[in-house]
Amino acid sequence: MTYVVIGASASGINGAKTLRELEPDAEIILISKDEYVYSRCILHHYISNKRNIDALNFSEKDYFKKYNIKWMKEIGVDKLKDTENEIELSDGSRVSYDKLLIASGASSFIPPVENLRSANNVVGLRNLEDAQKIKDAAKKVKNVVVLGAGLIGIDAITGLLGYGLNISVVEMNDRILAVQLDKYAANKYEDLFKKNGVNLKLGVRAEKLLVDEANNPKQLLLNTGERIPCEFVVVSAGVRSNTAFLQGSNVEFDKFGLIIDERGQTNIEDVYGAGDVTGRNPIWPTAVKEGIVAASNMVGKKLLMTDFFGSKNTMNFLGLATMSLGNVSVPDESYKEEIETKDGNYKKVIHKDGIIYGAIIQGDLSYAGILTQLIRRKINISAVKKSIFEVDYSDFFSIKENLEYTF
Amino acid sequence: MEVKQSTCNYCALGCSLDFYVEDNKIKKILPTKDYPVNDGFCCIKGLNLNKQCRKFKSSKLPLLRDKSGKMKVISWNEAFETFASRMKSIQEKHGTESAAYLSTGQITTEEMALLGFIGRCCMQINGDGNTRLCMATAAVAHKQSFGFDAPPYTLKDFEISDTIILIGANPVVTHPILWSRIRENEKVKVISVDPRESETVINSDLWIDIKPKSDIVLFYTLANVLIEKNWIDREYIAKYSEGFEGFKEHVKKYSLEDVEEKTGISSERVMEFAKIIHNGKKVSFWWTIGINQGYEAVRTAQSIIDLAVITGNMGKEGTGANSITGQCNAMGSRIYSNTTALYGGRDFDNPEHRSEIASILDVPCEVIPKKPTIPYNQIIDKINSGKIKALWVIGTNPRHSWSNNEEFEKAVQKLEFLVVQDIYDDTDTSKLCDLFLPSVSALKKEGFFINTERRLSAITPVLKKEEGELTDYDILLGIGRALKVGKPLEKWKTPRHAFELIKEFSKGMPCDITGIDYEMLVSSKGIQWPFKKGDILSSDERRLFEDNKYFTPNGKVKLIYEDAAKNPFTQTEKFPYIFNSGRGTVGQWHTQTRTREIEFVKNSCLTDAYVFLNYKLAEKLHIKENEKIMILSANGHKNEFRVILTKNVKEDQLYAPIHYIETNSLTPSIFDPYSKEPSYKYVPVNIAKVSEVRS
Amino acid sequence: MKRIKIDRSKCIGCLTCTTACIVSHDCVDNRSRITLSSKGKYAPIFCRHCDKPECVYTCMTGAMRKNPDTGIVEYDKNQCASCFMCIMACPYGVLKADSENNREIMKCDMCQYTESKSPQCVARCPMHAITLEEV
Repeated sequence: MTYVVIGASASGINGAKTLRELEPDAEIILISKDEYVYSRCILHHYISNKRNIDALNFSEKDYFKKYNIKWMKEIGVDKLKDTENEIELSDGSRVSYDKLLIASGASSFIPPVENLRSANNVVGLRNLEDAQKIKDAAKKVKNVVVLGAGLIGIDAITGLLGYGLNISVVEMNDRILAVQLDKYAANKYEDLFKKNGVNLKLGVRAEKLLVDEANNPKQLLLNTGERIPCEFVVVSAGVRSNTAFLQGSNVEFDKFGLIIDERGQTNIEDVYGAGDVTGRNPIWPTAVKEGIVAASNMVGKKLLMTDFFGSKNTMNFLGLATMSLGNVSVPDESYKEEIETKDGNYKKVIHKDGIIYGAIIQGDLSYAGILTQLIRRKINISAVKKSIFEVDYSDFFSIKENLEYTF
Repeated sequence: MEVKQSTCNYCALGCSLDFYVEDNKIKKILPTKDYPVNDGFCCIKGLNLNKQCRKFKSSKLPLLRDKSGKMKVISWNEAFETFASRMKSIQEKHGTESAAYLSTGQITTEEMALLGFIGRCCMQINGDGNTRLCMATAAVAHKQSFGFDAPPYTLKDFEISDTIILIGANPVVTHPILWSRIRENEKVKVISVDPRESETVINSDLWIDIKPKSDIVLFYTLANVLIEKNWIDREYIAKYSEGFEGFKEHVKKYSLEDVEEKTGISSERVMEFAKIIHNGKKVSFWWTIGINQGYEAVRTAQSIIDLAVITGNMGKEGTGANSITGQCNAMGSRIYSNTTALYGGRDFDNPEHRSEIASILDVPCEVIPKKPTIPYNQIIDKINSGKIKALWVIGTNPRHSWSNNEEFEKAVQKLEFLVVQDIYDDTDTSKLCDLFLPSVSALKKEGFFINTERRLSAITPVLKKEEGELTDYDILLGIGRALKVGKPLEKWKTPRHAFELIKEFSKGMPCDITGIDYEMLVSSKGIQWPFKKGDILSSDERRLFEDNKYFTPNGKVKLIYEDAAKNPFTQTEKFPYIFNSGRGTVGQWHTQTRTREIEFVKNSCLTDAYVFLNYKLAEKLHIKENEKIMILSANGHKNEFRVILTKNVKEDQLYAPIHYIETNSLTPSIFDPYSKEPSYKYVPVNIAKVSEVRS
Repeated sequence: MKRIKIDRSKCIGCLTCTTACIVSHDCVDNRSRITLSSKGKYAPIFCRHCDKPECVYTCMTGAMRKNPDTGIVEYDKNQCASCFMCIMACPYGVLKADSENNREIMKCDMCQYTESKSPQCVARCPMHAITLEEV
């Protein structure tokens, strides 16, 4: 039995490990464009020199040896021939599989702003190569523009803070991290960024990237007419799933990405998928679980993906941590909003008829995990006689036979 | 980072703690390893001593209530002058004893001694301590039976005893480290005498579920059985005790026939209990507040001592009639506060003692008080009757902790001048005062405590005082100067000076500590008294009476007894249930002025007053859990409590934690005739429904 | 594997487990806690070292790992990036960061690296409300 896994990130690494745990004797091959195994979530620590490449590795020590997985690195997949159970690699070779797990992730999307896609020194922050380019440029240039103040953009800024550069961030929304934060929580970070010398341009759009003769960025022109000097641009405008190699195959995918069912299976029996390549719920824990679920089913052990709650996030930078769950503002007047600011902490909970729909906790995140479950499972808290900010597991306390907790 | 060893200032175990300090901030606290009391462990309270005065910050400078009723900040000098002038003018107008003070068992011994000098000698006023509320009974029982207030044991006895009898004691909650030492004793049999199934009872081998306040009958009956069966140590009795013949006759009145009716314990079970005592080779009796707070408490405590004596369970390792103390320095107060006893456990009416003390203090003999202070309850009575016009409260919270505490509220209304000296300006009592004197916690003090097993341990300043902050010791000196005490005050210049005086006070007394230099206490294992000059420390864990010599004039232990008194209260149709109270949790201390700042405790304790009710009673009265009920007390007051259902209290009994002010609004003004300690633990009540708990 | 069995009916809220946890780890923060439910009942909230540990699935540095031999979910503070996703992921709200630096996750390690090598909360609980059981 040969199992082939495409991708060496959250889904691929966890999927391959699960395959080995369930199939001690099968052949398992992991193919990745990546040269190293690294966590894409902490690339900014690489940029800031907080970590070296080794320290970015989230897999176990000697992972490939330990789990007897053949790793073909720095190789891409060009084509999938599902009818022949075969993939064509970028080096011309072909690999046959009995079961295939597509965990090829996604790539940065560069929006069609004039010159943005063609100019030099414009990168996303998706891969280690991006991070390396940013790191190298940071030593040479004076001005950097970060396009988009989403999570990736903010990572880029925090990674660059120690280099003494002029950093400007351009964001369409009226605040940074508009998806995860409300105005109050975002403002706290904005103030911290300002204190650190970052120029925030909020509520504006990039119109055009002006380049010099050598096609290097010179200035970014905004819709307001303002021109921001920059020699380097980091784009944080979203990602697109790496499904190009599926063209011409029978595997179904849509504009978001690969389509899988709750067992991680695509429309083709031997082909499975997991993680960001699906374009849905693109967060780390989902990628990990989907990898494990798919691998389980590939081996014939039925396992269903049950956690589809994707709007959950924590962030910790500039000495301030925030957790964001579900709706960060009231969808309409029928929802209630409770806010508490105490001892430098900010707590906001959005609820309706005894069910919590969203929360922002900024500052001290202690024990906040309970909110994730209450929101995800839409657990009714009407019977809880505590302040909504003090809700804890005690009101749901229940022990299973194996002594674990349950709800 | 510096590591400073000091002693916890909550309970009387006096665990040693290591404080990790950097930049005058406590970074962490860990219990001291190898310390004889706690060897590397402690309870949640000691672990969080650094949480005091953090969220609830009081004024650093004194406060004086102005005519509009507002508290205004004043300077220390103004505070001392105000204190002195107002006290003087009230005493001039209404008599010397028209002022009084109420102190605490939680300040250093040096502070207690200095207060005993300023209050009792300089101001010539009465002053009692909150130790009256918990330990007075044990102190009086000891003094009468042993000849001196001397708890004879060392904590190691818990590990050696083969039969531990706990009476009115719940160490699992009240002295957790003590309980952990009992747990280390694998072979011991633990018997608990308690009306309710407390946390300790649950862990005991045998529960004697006694009818409340009938202990004295049980113990006399046991004595009777033991004597009849000749399960006594005749040699020990003959050689080392006195009063046996009278005792023997007395206990004959307490027979097995009616013991069940009186105590709720059947004759078979009493016989079993007697057998256990007889079969044990090292039987130890331990009592705490369940005994001390009663209307015949002293005699009950002595009935326990009598049992230990007649069975020869005294003076040997793992034995004894042992009172467990409550507060960290109640022992210091009992011997050195100059209130119930003259300094050093001496007698106010003994001319030799008086002149010795006068010469140590460099004052004329007349200035030494001629008798012990009037007790707490009389102070309150005299305030209410208009005889006492000024009250000085130091480090205690009577508005909450006094039995029948509304009486204290009434009394305060009658005062012309109330001074409160405390680390918090927002306690129930501080809030009522005219003059507030802010002191700092023990974290910034130097001095020593004496723990329940007579162990002296150092309080070392872990933190430096901030500008304007004063310790209780500093405040007392400031008051002394304002009172123009003059030259004698110089003998008290610093806590070290006080320590030297205290040593001299102890000279020649059973508590002699002339062999201890203060440095010997710092970063050490502590030293138990006695330790005379020239003594060599043979062991860190010593007990008394191993030589069978007691402190009575003839060196023998007295067997003291009296007919069981009639309960001043009975259950009536109007008040059919018995209201008992005591500590609720390990994390909450007394009136919660300090422990309210510990997050761990706050998150695991109810915020409003609650009472434990038996399931069956609740069913009969149609009361649901968490409902709020009104409890009406025979003391004339009533209050609301949240109901927690349990099977651990008997059907006609209620139990409420003392940490909520409502509890003592219901307790009675009944006092032991000898110790004057309030009989908190028994008052008949009734229950009325109020409403559902509001969410 | 061995898991700590919790019998909440025996808990008296004495916080000895909290004390034992802090003392055995030589620190100031607890890795488990006791809270009260709305009905006033004690709830010992302890890490369960889950069979399907959400904290492990959510950890993007590999700092949280389930040891296949002991079943213990182990935390490597040097690998941790303090992203706090685990705090959010734990369904029972067991986790928090250290109070001094808000950096290290206070994660129960079953006292593996302490002198005793076995859970001190269990050893010290006076009511035997928590016991070690094979599951």
